[in-house]
Amino acid sequence: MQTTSEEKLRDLGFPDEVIQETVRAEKRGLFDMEPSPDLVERTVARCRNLLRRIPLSDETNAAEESLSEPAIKAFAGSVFAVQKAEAELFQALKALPMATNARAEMERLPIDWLATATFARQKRLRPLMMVDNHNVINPAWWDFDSGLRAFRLACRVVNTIAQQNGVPPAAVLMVLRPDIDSYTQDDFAAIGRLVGSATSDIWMIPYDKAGEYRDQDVIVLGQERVLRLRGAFANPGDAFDAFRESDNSAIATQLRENIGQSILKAVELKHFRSGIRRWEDARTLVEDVIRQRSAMQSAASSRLLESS
Amino acid sequence: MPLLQTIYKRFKRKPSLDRLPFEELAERYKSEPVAVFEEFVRRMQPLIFQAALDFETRAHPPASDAEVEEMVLKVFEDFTPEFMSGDPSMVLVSFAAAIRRVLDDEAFEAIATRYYHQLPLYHMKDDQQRRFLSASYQNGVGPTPAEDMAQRFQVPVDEAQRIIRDGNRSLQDVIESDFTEDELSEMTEGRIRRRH
Repeated sequence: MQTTSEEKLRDLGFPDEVIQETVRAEKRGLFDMEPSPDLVERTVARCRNLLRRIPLSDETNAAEESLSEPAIKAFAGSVFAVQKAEAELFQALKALPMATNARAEMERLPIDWLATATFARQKRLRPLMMVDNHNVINPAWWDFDSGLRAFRLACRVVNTIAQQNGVPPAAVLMVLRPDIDSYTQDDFAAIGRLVGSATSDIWMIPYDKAGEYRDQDVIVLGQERVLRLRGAFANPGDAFDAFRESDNSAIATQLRENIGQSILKAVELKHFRSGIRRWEDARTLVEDVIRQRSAMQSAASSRLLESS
Repeated sequence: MPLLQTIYKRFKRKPSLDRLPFEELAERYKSEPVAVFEEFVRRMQPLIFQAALDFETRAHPPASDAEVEEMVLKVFEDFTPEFMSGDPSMVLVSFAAAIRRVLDDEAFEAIATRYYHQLPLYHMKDDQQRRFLSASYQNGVGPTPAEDMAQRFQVPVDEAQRIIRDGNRSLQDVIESDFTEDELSEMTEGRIRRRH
């Protein structure tokens, strides 16, 4: 005699052998208990040091990893020269004495992204301002996702051009999650690397002080381009697809002012850069900002500050 | 094309990990080892939990959450050094061997059919059907898959039922058309067979 489960599963088109196994599992109580929500993360944390490392060869990521600071500076200087001379950017790039893979990576950057550097040079303003919201984009994604790494590379190039012209670099306002326990070790490791190696100026703001930026990512590029992202996403690909892009100089100007106002309430991180060496350091810093303790009030944070 | 997507697509040119067939994970492992491993764990863990629960219920009754989870961790720990080291198409067979090593044959038998159905499942072309069926099989199907998926994907139950029915038909088409009988037999230890 068929059970209710069998009838339901058959009606849904599951194969007989799957139905039989599912019914047996139900009878043995295998659906009575469920794994903890964090078991995937704990498994990855426990096993990640056991993973085999495969050397990269011609992968895009390998080319990206191999880009050195001198290569970026050489590229940035050349772009500036090309813009000034109004020459063809790509023809000049081909003449640069750079490794083939590095040049190939650089050529992927759209010209209009590089144009934010022109805006910065002419207006004497930051080339871009960004709200990097940890409630929208997981910090750990910046470590492995090729699209986000491409974004970071673009920032490095634009920041280098800006700095060579005496203009401040991009401003990044990190909006933290309300609960320190919602971060993973990978998240802290990614935050630590970001803070330690950033070419942008970075601030952290606790969730409850972030106001309108609590639930969104915002990027203001140059004078008029605005990108916004709201919601929660399962992976970086879905997040990228959900960005809403607009060209409106009034909105962009207003957002630049608003982000600037929020930055005044945030903690600037440049003094912590060299003090963050391990993921635990990043955790300490994030926890203090969430709890709104200043470095002077927290022995842990002040240690990070002093070591810089 | 919008600027950000231009940047993303020029660099990315890769489908999301959660859409990749098991056989294609190895290629991505070269550049994203931790992310690929995490995706593998995400796909397999609930079923391994059932196998571990079956094992612990027989070996050390009554099974506790902590003991079952520890056995799950041991299964993955045992397998991790060889993860993505052999023929990519045999990854599930290799992992099945680790499950049997750490647990036992009977524990694997408790999940084997549902476990191996995940292999053809990621060859399905329709995103929505694949998402519903992959989530359902990851959970071990269960007595109420339509209700479970309706809640998970925030759709009415009758809509979830339709998607799962269509998905099961598509999955059978994939089994019939994307693999030879020999391939299926080898890659699933004979657990999945073509009907025609």
